Amino acid sequence: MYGDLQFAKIGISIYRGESMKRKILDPMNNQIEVLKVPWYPQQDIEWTCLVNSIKMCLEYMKNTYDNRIIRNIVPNMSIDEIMKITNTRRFTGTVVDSHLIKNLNSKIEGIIFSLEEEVNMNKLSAKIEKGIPSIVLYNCQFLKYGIRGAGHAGVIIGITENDIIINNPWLGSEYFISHEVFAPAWELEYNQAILLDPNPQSKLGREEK
Amino acid sequence: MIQNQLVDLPVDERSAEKIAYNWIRSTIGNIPHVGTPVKEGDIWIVPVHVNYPRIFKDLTTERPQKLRFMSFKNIGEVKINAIKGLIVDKPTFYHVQHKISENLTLVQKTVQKALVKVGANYFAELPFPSHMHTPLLDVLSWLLVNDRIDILVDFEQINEEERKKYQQNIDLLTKYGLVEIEGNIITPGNYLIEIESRGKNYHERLSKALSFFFERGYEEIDSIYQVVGPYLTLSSICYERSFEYGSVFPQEYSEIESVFMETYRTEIKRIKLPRYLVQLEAVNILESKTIGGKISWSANENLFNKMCSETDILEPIAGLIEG
Repeated sequence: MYGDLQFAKIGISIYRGESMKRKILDPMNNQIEVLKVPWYPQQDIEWTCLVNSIKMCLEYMKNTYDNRIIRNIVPNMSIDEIMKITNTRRFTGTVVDSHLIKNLNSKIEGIIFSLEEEVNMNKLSAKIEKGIPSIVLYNCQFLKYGIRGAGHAGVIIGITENDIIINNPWLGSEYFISHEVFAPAWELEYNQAILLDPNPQSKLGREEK
Repeated sequence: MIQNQLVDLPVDERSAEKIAYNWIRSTIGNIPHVGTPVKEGDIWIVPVHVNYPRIFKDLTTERPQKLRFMSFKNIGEVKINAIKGLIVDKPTFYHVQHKISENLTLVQKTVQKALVKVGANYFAELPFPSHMHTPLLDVLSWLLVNDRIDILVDFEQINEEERKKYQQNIDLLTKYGLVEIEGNIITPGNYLIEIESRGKNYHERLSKALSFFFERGYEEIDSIYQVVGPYLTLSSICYERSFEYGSVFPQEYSEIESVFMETYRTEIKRIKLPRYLVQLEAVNILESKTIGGKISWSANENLFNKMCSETDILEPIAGLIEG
């Protein structure tokens, strides 16, 4: 009984808003805050960037997000399980459309996913402020080499005046990209993002009714 | 009434690109991308390209070190009616997937050809695998030991299918001057006779004959694969990766194992993998190093540089790597 109470007290102090973020240094050595989203690399399989991005978001919402109800209902999902529900296929990657979102919403509790075009930085910043990461779809080869290439997904974990900070399955964690460099690479993919909204209501329960 | 007054607006280039983009993303996946639309009459033709990513990890830090892309152009076309904006023709998912796979295989086989040509002596020193189907080795060994094959007599007990395989290999050896055929009799060709005079024993003679065949007959990569199968697969994993990277690139065992198992998919091969690596190191095709406390495997630098200088062989894949 006493043990439970103590645990609850500790829980309250751990899961205040700031515990979702951590401080890092930007390229100019300024201290900034980013969401504590874990990074999942995909070096052996090149076509699973969206799967790995979803995995990062789920792990964060499951273990770090400051709402206990959400943490309790977001499922633990393996990369293989996410690959299956996202219909990710060898060499060609993940189909990105309304069916993907429908599948995510019907298979993953605790989060409502939406795919939007022409998203702006203000919208992503507002999400970060609330402690919610977003998945952006952009052209990584254009970003690196100025050549249009594969569509790529990454998780936005921080935004500053100069940079966005992405957990990039290809390039690494806490990867800084200046807004000027990111903008044209994002524009090639029509400024798309998969946005997350925490949803404490059980979706599966609702469907059953 | 109102509907009758509506007219179709012609689809401009940007809209055509967007229609094709949406189709690719909602049907194929995020890896392919659209090229520049070209208008032919009332049809916009939007090419589908793939720039396939390759990620290189620093073994010390375990972090991504370099990102490169292999460019496979025009693997399909999306055709759009320029008046109505409707897709009138498009590739299937399987077509696009197959084309990517085909291009990746082209890279692999081209690297293998160049590697086999420059590394002929090294491959010929590998132990001859007794479990593999090796009619090429059988024919050469028979000729070295028995001087001639009489097809009617010596192949009499062999079934039709096997006989066909032997005949195909005899034809290959004939093409490269290692054997000669006259009627039903097969005898050593001029090159095999020359090689025979230089070998100390049968094993050495057979090795030299094989080396000769690998060096001259690198285009027959499927037949060579029958002789050195898993050794070729394994070494080409390391040499291809280095080729894509631009210099010798060490790989972790787990990474090699994962690609190797994609080819073989049998547990028995997983058990044999370390032995193959050890044997490839013994003949200097691969080198092992400890990086960051972990064992890594990489191409022999001299052999890799020689391979890269085989520009004629590598020509079909020379322009594929970007970034």
